Amino acid sequence: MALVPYKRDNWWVDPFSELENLQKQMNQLFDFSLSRNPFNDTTLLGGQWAPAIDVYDSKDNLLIKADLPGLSKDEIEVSIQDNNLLLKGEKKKDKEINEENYFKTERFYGSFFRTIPLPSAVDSANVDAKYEDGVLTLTLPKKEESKPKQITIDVK
Amino acid sequence: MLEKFKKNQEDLMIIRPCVNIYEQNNNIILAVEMPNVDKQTLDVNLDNNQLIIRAIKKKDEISKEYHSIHQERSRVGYERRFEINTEIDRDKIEAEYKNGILTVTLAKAEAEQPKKITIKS
Repeated sequence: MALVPYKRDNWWVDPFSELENLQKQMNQLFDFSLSRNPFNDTTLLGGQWAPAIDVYDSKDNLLIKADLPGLSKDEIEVSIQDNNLLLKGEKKKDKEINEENYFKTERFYGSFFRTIPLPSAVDSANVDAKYEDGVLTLTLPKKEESKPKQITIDVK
Repeated sequence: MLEKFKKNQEDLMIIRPCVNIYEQNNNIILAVEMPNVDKQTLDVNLDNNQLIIRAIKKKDEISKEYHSIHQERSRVGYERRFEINTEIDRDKIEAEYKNGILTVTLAKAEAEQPKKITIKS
């Protein structure tokens, strides 16, 4: 009677590797909720849905792209607070259409909210925001002191 | 809704975009959520009774100075098929792509006037 699944490629059965595996899986389970990756912190408490984002980094700027189809730029609110980028807005239901006239509704409605922690301090007065084809593109210039500085190493 | 159907030549994952279908002013309207689509790949076809909507997302043009630190969006292809059971006017199909939403308007065909049958007595 085997309590451990038989693995053909193990030349020796190491009971500790199984436990290690279990430990790793438990860690992953906790990591998922405590989110080591700061960008994964989309709390569902914020809203019914949150847009998917891509974050890019360069020496001078941060670039963020978010998929937000079907909105107008008045329905999207972008703000920066304590080095966090706040994306919020509300997708309003089309009032002209009654409930009974719908055959199918899959698209989400309601408010959305997402906090994106910024890895560098940015100059919030000079942020460039564009909304095109349902994609919001934000270019955030970094503050001078946040830009990477080259450190010269003296070799004596 | 994400379902990995198949991969086309470009090796893109094909997903089914979310859609709202509703009736308004004797039209059937489909609002398909497809952000950042390359308009040249946008294809709306009515084949017998099947409406096929296809598109491919544009490739993001990111200048070389940037490197990615977090990625959630991916380049995908969109495909969705619908069976149209109502009689529609095939010459009056309209499609508009705005703000990432493709709106397809199908006009319902004029209902045939009921023929009055006179009874001979």
